[in-house]
Amino acid sequence: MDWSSSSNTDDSAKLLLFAFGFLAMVAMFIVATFIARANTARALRHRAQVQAQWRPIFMGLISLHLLPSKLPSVPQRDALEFARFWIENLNRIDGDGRQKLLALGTQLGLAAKLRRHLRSVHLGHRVLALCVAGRLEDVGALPAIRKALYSSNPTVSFTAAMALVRIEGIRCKEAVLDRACEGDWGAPYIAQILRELQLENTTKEMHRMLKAHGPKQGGNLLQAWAQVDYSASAQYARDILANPRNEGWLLCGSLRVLRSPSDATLVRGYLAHQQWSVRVQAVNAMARVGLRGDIESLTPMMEEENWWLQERVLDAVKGHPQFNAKAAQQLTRQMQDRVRQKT
Amino acid sequence: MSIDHLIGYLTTGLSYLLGAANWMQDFMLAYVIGLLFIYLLLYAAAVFPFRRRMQLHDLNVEAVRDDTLYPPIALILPAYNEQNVIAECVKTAMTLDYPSLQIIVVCDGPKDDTFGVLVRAFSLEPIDLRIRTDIATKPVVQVMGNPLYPQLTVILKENGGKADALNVGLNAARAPLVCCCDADTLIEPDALRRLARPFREDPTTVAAAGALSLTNGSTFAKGRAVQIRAPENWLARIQTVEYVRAFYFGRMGFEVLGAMLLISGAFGLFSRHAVAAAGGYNHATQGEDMELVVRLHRQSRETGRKYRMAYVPDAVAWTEAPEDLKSLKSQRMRWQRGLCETLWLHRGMMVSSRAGAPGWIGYPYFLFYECLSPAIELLGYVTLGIFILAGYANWHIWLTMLLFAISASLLSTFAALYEQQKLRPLVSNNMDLIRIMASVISELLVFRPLCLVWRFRAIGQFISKKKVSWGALQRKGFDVTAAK
Repeated sequence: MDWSSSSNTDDSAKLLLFAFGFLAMVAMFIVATFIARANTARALRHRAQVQAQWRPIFMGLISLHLLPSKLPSVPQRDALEFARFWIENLNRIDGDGRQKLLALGTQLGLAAKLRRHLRSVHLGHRVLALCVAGRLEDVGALPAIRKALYSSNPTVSFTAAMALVRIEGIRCKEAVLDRACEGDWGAPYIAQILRELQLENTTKEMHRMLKAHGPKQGGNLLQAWAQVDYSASAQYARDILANPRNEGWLLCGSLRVLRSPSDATLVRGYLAHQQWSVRVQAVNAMARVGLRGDIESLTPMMEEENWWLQERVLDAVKGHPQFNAKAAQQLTRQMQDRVRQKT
Repeated sequence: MSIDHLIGYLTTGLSYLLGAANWMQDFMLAYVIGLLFIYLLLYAAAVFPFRRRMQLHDLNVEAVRDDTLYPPIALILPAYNEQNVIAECVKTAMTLDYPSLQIIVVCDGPKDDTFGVLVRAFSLEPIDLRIRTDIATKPVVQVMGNPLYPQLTVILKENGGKADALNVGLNAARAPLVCCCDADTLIEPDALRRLARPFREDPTTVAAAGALSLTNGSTFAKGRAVQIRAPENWLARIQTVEYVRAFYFGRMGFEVLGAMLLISGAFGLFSRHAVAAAGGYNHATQGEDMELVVRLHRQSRETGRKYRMAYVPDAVAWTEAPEDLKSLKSQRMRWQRGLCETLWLHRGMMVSSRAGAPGWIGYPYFLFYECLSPAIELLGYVTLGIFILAGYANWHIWLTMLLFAISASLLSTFAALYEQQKLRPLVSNNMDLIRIMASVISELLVFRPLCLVWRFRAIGQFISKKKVSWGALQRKGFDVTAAK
């Protein structure tokens, strides 16, 4: 690069312009930082004020069943912070206290105050509004809740699903369960939805969902079912595993559910399945349900080519309380040598 | 040889030198422009995804049966010569708000009374705990516990270094997630819940990094900062700026790009299974935290396994920064050596076809802008010196370089400060914020050149394979007051 030509004046101008631009950006960031600090501090103070105002009222209501003769109102500017604090307290208590807090929320018109946030761009505001609408069974919020059910953000969609279930109950079961099978909710969340729905016949619904969404979501659905009704889900799993010609994803999902030592015989049969993914789940299941002899019989599987299988066998062997520590260490060394060779 | 010949050789030599210096000048210009470009890319990549993510910060509305959604965590605290702070640290750890927490303190053959302090503070007795042998470690001498504190296990082992102590903790852990943490780190009560969130949301998560803040100058009670002040000590103030830039700029950007190569050893959460399968922490390096993360990346990519490493900026832990030059020098040289060792161990990443973002974005950045930067910068000064002596210095180009370098540094720092302020207050008042901002100048003029020299020496130590110990950090402990 040759900058020694007579365009030095132009270069100096460019440099000055760049320096000015850069200083302006730095100045903007400095000012913005002070503004952000002030805003954050103000938001925290606001939160503390709202909590300080309402905490004694909540405590009085829950512990002594007393409300002040003149209940303060919740101005629009405090609605979100109040909702946050109200939900936190709702989640901490049960029974009569919770009913009283819900009644207080209705009395204060909380759902109406938060309705404007149901379609907010701010995720946090939207989630708060959805949660309040669900807790207070705000029927007017249903269109916004149904729209939020299909949001790409899993927190928003899950909160919307819970709200819909609280308002419509079993009537919304198809929509909510179909949404649960989209794949962005983990098994514990699906389990929570199933509990909230209080289905009359969970087994029938699970059969329907597994048939409709099995290939994509079978494993997740079975795990969720196991958290809600282990015996029914385990029986389903055993029925599936009775036929080794069932599809791979179904066998894998069923093996993941089993936790009883009485299933060891059933699991043993799948250690030699032709699909490696099924063998992996069989090893995992054997680690949960197998006795020492079963675990020892896994060690020849360390010679398998498949990386996942080797790892799972090693885990099963090392994790078993009865297994010999020296043998476990030898297998670990064998595994690490293979890792070193591969990497 | 005649005078004419000598002058001829000298002239030729000088022209070659000037040619090399010209090349170096062009390289330096491209280097600093590249740095500015990378910083802009990191900020642009991270700012909107993280702001969106932080909109759900502190919001846990569907908390019914929430506790069952949190996987158990084993908190591993390796301790060596920590008698002044260890009891307070463990007491604070026991107040952490997490449903299922196992606390494992691993005393790595300390020379002081760290182990005795713990035994007396918690009335510990020997217990029979089977420790796995997944990862080879130095022998365990004693395992202690108390039925009154079922979550606490204290292990005394032969001295083997921090990596070895962490591996013992991994072997003893009974939880699927392990949080590896320094014994002098103060974790905020809700930090583990936040840090465990990525593991709940995405089962392919193998590691999550939290953010670190500095305790220097602040006051703490019951595990929380009650008053956050700018440190009085100038070195600590500068390091505050550094930490903010690292955690609210660098980490965010690299996480979004999938190239996060560093999770601080002072506060990180890992899948126990993934770490044990990778062979645990490596004794051969002083940068065992970074080395593990790079190895996790490499192994996952080589085996074609889908994985995720997350950064959670609102999961905060506090640590103490060195306030004297000797401790700071020891720390920075150790970090530089650890960085060199890690990058050397995994040099195959940059040319591997499976390396992906960690190998093609993260690795080159850490190599050229972190590891080799002391050498490149010093070469830059030498080049400038050559030009000045030869009378060919083009001040426009050098001013441009200086401007770009300062721009990159200042913009990244102030952008990080801004993003951090949006999330949580850095300090309690505006004067302290001004003092911290003013430290940016002393960082550029004093701190960076000092660190440059130390890091250059550390590179020399790495190349000469000189064995160096960790060094001792002068600790003051936390300023803990009773809550009013």
